[in-house]
Amino acid sequence: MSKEELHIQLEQLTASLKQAEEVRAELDRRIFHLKTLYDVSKDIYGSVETQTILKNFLLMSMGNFGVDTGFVLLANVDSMKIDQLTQLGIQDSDSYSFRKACQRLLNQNGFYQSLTELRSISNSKFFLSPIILTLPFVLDDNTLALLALGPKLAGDGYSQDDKELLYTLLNNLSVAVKNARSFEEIRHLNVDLEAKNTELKKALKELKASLRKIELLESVKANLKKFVPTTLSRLIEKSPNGEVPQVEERYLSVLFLDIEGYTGLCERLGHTLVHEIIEKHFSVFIDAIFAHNGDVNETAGDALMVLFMNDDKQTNASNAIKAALSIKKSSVKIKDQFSILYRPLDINIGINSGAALVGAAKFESITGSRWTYTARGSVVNVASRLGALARKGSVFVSRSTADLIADQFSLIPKGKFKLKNVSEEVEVFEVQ
Amino acid sequence: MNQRPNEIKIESHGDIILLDIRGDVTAFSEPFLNNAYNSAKESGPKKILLKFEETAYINSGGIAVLIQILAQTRRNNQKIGITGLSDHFKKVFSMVGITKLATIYPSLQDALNAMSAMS
Repeated sequence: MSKEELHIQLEQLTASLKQAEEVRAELDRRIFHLKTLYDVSKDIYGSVETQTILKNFLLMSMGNFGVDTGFVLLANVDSMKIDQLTQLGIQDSDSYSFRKACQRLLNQNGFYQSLTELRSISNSKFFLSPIILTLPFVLDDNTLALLALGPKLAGDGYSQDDKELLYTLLNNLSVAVKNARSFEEIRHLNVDLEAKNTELKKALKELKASLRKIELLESVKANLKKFVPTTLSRLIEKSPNGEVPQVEERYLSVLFLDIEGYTGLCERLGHTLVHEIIEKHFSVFIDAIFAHNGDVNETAGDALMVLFMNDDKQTNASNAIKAALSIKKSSVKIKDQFSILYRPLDINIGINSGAALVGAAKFESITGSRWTYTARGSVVNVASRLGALARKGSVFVSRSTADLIADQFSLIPKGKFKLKNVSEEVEVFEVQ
Repeated sequence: MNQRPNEIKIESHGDIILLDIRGDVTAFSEPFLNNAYNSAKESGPKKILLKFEETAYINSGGIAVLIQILAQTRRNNQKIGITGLSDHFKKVFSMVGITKLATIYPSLQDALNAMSAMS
């Protein structure tokens, strides 16, 4: 081989070597870009914080191309308000001013019209190097975004391949940010839910406490009912502060009931058994009284004082008679429960109707004050005397009551009687 | 591949501050590298040497972090060198233009010798 031929071959080899090196460099560059693509996906999908995703994305995009300046901006489509702004290659002290300047531009010009201006303000004021590449992209229906980069340190410009790689990276960014936003939304919803749960728990606790109070009050009320006349407990319910209405005159029917031969019964059967018998009888009587809208106002040994005052005067009288007849009937039935009784007890009843003073009476003493709720007046006295006059389980009523119920019940006139402590004679009727 | 955690030792070699960086360098290394650089510059050094492990993985995020630090050294009129890179990363650093901001040395000793001789 001649020297000339050798020289030509050397030149060809040198050119081939140079070409091989260029191919290798291009291959290295592409491998590095592919690795960046892989790392970007790995890193940004590994985070659920939008700010971290944007920062890492910007770092990797800038590192991939060897850039010292860049920013990513996310703005709301409708309000043009900046949602996120991440920048590198800027002094920390300038970050706030840069954000303000960006926001001002977006407010004045809108998103796309601001791109050129954004380049110029970043060139002149804030960054290490001027922004030379802006890539706007749509993140989602509500968000417009922009990736802005400065020049490559290596000095070459951005090729079409570079831009295609950046858009591929931006697609990944969009998906990662959407995922992160969904996650943030779910997290906020969870926080809201937890707050609501806490409120609900608190409300439930308060409700339970209130329920306990109500149960306690109901229990107190139920216990009080055993001892307090229904009229009085109704008044207390209506006025829990203890304001008892003044005494008033009301037209009512009063029923007095007592058991004939109670003292003899006690002597014959003993107090304990008689107490049991009376308790059973009165329990049944009270049911009959309540069924006819009566209110047991007083109990004393073998006697009951019952007021009928919740309806009109005719109904009150009628109810009193019905209650009396029901009591008589039930006393016959209940006798069977006591084998010791050879016949039903004689329940004597007296009923009178008229106006009486009804209401609370207060008794002051050195031991304190005591309240009672009752009816007072001659109507009550006469009813009591009629009860005392009745014999063998009869029901005696006065003229005033008889006039009110004559068309409903069969009455037998018993004549006029002089009753104890009653000035005038009283006309008496027996209910059949 | 999991990132190997960063550990950075700061040493003085004459008028050179050496940042001995262990572990992989990625976007997540940013706070470690920034803290190390801020600590190193407290004594007002004019020369800073960054030493990496040859087995370290440095991705584009890590390169961007380094570029930010190199930009700061330039702003602070500091001379900066890099050593400990594998051949692959020497090529990558060259490709992305880091060699325009810092000198890459083949070994720690070469770096110390060369930088000590700088005025």
